[in-house]
Amino acid sequence: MSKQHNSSLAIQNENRVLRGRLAEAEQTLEAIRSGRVDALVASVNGEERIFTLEGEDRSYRILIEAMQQGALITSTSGLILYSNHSFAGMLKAPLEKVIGSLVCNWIAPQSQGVLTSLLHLTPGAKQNSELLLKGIDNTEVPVLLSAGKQRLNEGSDQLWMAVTDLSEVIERKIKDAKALAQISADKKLAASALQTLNYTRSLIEASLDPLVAINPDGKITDVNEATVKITGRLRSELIGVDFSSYFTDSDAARSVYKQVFEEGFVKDFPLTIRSSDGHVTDVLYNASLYRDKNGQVMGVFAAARDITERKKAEMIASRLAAIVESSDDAILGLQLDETITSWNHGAELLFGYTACEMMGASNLKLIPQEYHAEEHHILEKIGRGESVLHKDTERLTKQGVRIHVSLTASPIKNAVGQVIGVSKVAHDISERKHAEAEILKLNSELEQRVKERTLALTVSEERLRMAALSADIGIWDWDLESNKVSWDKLMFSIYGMQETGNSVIRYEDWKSHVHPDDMEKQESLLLQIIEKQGHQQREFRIIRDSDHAIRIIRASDAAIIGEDGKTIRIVGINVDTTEAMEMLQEIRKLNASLSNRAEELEASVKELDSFSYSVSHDLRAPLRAIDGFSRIVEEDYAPKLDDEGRRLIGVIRGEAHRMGRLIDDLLAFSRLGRLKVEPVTIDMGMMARQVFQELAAAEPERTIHLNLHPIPPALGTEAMIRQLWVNLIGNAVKFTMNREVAEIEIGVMPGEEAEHGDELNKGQHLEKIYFIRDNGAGFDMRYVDKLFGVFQRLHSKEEFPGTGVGLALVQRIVNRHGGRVWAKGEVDKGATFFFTIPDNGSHATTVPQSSIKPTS
Amino acid sequence: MNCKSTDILIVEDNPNDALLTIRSLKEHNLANNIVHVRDGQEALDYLFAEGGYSERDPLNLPKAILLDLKLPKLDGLQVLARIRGDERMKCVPVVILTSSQEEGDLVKSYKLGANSYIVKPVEFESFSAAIKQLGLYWLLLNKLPVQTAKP
Repeated sequence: MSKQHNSSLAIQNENRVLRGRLAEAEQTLEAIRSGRVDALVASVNGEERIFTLEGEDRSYRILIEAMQQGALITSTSGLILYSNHSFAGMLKAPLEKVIGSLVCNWIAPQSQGVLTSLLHLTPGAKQNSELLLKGIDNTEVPVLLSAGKQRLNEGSDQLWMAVTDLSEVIERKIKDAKALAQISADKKLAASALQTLNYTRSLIEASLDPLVAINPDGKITDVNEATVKITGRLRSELIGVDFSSYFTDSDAARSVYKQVFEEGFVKDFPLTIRSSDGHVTDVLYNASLYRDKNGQVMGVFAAARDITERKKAEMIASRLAAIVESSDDAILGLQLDETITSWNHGAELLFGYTACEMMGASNLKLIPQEYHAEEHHILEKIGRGESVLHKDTERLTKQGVRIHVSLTASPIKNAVGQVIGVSKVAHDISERKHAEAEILKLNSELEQRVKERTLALTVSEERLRMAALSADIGIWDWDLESNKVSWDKLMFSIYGMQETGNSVIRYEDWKSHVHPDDMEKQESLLLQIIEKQGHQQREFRIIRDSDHAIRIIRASDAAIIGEDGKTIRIVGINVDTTEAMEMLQEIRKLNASLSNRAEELEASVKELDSFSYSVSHDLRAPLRAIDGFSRIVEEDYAPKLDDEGRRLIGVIRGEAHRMGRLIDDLLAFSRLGRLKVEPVTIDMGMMARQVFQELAAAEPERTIHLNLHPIPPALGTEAMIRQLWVNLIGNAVKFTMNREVAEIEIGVMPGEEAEHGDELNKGQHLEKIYFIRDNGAGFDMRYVDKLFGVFQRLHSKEEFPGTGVGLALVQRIVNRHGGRVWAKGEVDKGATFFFTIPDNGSHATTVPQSSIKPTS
Repeated sequence: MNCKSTDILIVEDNPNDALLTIRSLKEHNLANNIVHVRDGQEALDYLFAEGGYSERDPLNLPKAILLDLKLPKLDGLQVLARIRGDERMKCVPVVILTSSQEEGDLVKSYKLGANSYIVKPVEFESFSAAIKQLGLYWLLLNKLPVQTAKP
């Protein structure tokens, strides 16, 4: 089954192959028929056999096939009718793809023009052209193409082409050219051998680095000028000397030399050269062996590079680095894309990020969003090579806190001046900003205070002005420089002058109004205040413009001092004191007359005192004599006197006694005026009771009732108040003598301000009014005015004995204590006496003490 | 002159007052030897045995002195001051017998060493009673230190 199946498959395959070959054959036949194919190559049993359609040129064809050049025949349209293998090989394409294709497909674009010209050759003509073929793999192959056009029998034209591959030729050409060039160069080299040597020598001498050739023994064989300079020794001194002796550390130099021999070279070994004058130069030592043509070591070439400058630069750099690192300011380096490339300690402190965190990170991390535009602007400026100085801006710390910084950004440039980065210095100005804010705040506070103060000043100025106006005070301001005086309205009114438009007058205007007699003194006073400054008061007379009246002016001046310490202005006031002065004089006059009156009064008081003293002394003596001698008459002459005589002598003696009492009372009254008030607290109830008992005891035959209410104490002089009670109670006792039962009532009642209060006592709600009431003879209220007068009596001495001094004394005592006394009465219905002793009254009235000297 | 020891010296310029005083003293048999001088100077002359009294024994001092204040020449207070300023007379009682009721006179008198101060009453009875009282007291009841220099 399977065999059958296999064979069936094989048959099918074979059938398919056969069909394919048939189709191929048919195509080929068609091609041949159409004249497109003139030879067929068939592979039969591993051999290729070419079948040509025309037999006579077969030998040429073999030759063509065998030759290395490509050969082909095309139609005038470029269709390839024939190609040999060589041409196909040039194109790396199978032959069958070449034959029947258009030749232009195999020509490189730049050579298409050449092809076109070939295709239009006139028949019989030939042309050689170099052009580029294009292989199936698009490789270009340079070729020399020879082409010609021939006319066929039937009148159609054909082109033949022979193609020579130029690739190898060109390669060889290049080689040859190179070889030629080499030869030429060698020739040049040889020609300038000496020149080159001189040139090299110049180079060596021109080198700033000391260059030295040393032989294997370590002896110097050659040096350049730089070596002479650095060692401070002549060339002749150096050659032949051990090289190591010019280094501070000879051992190190020798060991380096040894290293050169061992390793063939040494690179950048640090050594120090000492010059003849002791100057030392740090160098980096570079050396290598040099050999002859045979590889034999000839010695060492050594070059020392002076690194003094580099060391300096390094030192500066390290110093700068230290400064950068130690700076409190944040210093950072950025690329133009904001990548951070350096980050100092100050930046760590300011922003809170460590260098590790920030190196390679973006600077934008530190910039608040709203400052990104600003940053962009800064970078633009930097890009133009400009710097940004001390720009106040804000940054964000790691903690997210906004800080105020003053930012300075400068471009970092490379060797050729190209901006490659930014260096930024950020200075923390939070403190400053804070201080600025504080200052602003203080400023505004100050401003506010100034405003308030100004307002207050304005108000007080206005007040002052009002005060000046209402007090008729004229204000003036004299500017010394311009000699002009500003006057307010009142000044004009005081001087009786018309107001000037600008309220300014000249100093001379004022001067012309001053009374001529006063002028000199006033000017000298003004000069004085200009010089001495401060303030002063003056008084002078003026002659008023309006009525030519002489007025008295009181002036106050104050100097205003300028920046240079000199008086620049005088300001002051004028007051017309004429009326006041007149009044003052009037008052003085009155005062003088008053004090005269007072003196007179005092004198008369004194007179009265001495009078009363005389009375007390001198009047009593004759009375005593009258009484005494009357008595002697009574005793010694009794038998000679009748009853009438004795009665008359009795009258004489009685009158003498009465006069004695009158004098005594009068003296007591007079003494009272001179008695000093020394108030103490007096128990009025107790005192009244004692006095009553004493007086009642003198009248044992009478029935006298005392109704004593509780009464408050009083502040008074004890002797006087006792006298007061004696007189008042004595009166009550006396005027009740005709009553079977005498009733005396003593008490106190609240004050009646409306009725009796005067200015002094107003407001004293509990003014004590003591009263004493009796049921005695009373009195007629019509004569109440006479009640308290001296020697005034409302009753006859026959009715009631008395001198008429008692109540006067009462009134005087009460008055001395600042109180009041008054009485109410009715004939036969008793009397009531009222008095007050205010607590503060004792000080209200003081009578001057007059010392009484007895007249001898 | 009178060589007997003086009981009482009356210094009084008013002859009426002097007469009444002497009469009262005698009425009550209080003094036998009464000397009356009329002013302050005479009083001192008598006491110090000077002037008109230079022949008098200065050691013979009165038992009491009745002294008026208001006197011609030297007043009573001046006389009192001199008496109290003298060692011998310091102890002699001095009674001020005056019309003056002035507090000032009273105080000054006592300060100068007066033994008593009596205001002469106008009424004769009162006057006489007062003289009697002071005579009784100062001449009879009052005891004085023994006089050292007695003849």
